[in-house]
Amino acid sequence: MSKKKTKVEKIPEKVKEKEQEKEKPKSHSKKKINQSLSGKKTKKKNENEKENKKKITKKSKKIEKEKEKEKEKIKKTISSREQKFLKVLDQEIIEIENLRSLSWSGIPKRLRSLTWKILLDSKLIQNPKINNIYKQVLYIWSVRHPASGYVQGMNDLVTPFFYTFFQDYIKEEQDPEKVDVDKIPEESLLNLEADIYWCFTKLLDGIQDNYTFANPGIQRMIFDMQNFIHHIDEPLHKHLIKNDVQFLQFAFRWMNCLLTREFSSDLLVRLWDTYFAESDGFAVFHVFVCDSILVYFSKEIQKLSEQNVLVFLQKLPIYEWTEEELKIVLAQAYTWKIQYEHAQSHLKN
Amino acid sequence: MENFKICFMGDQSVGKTSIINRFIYDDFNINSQSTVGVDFLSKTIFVENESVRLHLWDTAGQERFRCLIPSYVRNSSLVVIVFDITNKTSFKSIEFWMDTVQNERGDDVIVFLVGNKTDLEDERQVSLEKLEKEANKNGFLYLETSAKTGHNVKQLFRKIGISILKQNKKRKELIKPELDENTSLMNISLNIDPNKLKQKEESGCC
Repeated sequence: MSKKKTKVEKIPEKVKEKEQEKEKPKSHSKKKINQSLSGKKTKKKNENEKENKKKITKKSKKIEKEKEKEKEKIKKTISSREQKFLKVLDQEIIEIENLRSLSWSGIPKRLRSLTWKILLDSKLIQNPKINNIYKQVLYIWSVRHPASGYVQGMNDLVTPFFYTFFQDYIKEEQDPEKVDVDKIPEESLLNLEADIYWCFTKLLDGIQDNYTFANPGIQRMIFDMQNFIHHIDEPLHKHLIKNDVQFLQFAFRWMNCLLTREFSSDLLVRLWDTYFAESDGFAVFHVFVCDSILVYFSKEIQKLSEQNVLVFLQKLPIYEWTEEELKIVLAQAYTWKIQYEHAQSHLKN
Repeated sequence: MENFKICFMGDQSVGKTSIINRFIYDDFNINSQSTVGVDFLSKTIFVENESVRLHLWDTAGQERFRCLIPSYVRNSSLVVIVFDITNKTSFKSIEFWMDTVQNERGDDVIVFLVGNKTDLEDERQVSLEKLEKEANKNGFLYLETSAKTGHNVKQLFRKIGISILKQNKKRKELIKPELDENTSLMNISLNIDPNKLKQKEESGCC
């Protein structure tokens, strides 16, 4: 009897293995999606550690204990308020409640960027049930769209839909990060998943050639972006060429992830409001927005040289932006669109 | 100070970004985000009494992004091909990555084969001997690392620095005698990078 049982169990496992072999790219992607979902959190923690390490100086990195001692020393040289923050931020697992109550009356300048990112960051999408929604949406989408399949970075495009539609299932005054997902009825979660899936599909329908072989959509958008910069801000264009910076090197991610990795989630949703309102927001207007962002930093970029240009462009200081800066960029993009939308072919000459 | 470009490539999730993060920040993040397109980082190291600035191009491994990679190989001094020792497929892909390199550069570039994730010894699917054989067959350098524990990561970049300097000196020596013999500038430039002219003709993606 027991023999039989083990046999029965073994067969499906083998089949499973075979299936996994066959579907390797997919299962791989799934794994990747998973990783990316929880990526942001730890990344931020890393930045924290990075900061600390910089402060530790390069003297002796021999033993962990020595590091700790040195850290303590340096802590004494900074303000007591910063110390309080560092105490919370240094923890292996950061107590978000403590950080919130500390931040309420203001965050020290040096720690603001890091703290904001952590406060905005989500434990919610790491919840297994929520994580599962992401997996299902992306998996089913990739099965139904074999010409592109899952492309890394698509998970970033699910997030704005998730946060927006999740609001429908919680009380208005409720903080989504504090919601107990287990208390949400299964049916609601299924509805949420369906909403996300269909809207995500609709979005990608308009830009699918971004994700097919050789990424023609992205190549075209970057081509248009560069042409426009050449036309509108020649000194900047010259400066980039002179320093051997190619648009493809920094703008690829802007196009592939639609700026989800560059903006904070709050601001991104605000940006997408406008994209949805525009008829071809994600394919055409988006390019003008990217141009506008680049020109916004034109002077700053022109002060930099060689590899520093690319380092700056890879990590533009727009994560900390407020709606004010975004409005300026959007207004500029809109003006350009009205002026030049039908002159694209002219620009190319 | 001399600057050198180094291109990291290899299948997705073999640990290219993690190796670079371990080297630059001495840090490891188990949930590191997937690279989209390419990332760029640089760091100065000190080898054999010389400072060397390494510009690291961290390319995305997923198939969809592969057509971007030749442009990064084009002007690299050294290419690091990474695979995951617990994933046979990623080892088999080395051949693909080598072809990509050779199509762009012929044999005019130093190649390093790196087997990552030695911390997962129990799940190992590719032996060190296999790696050794593969590397020796092509005259490549090789090393096994663990970005998670930091095993061999410093050594990897030390070796990268040493071999880059070596190659650089060789090139300089090639130029020197010719300068003495008053050869024309044209010849010198050809000696510095014989593939440069060829590359210009062959440019273009996919």
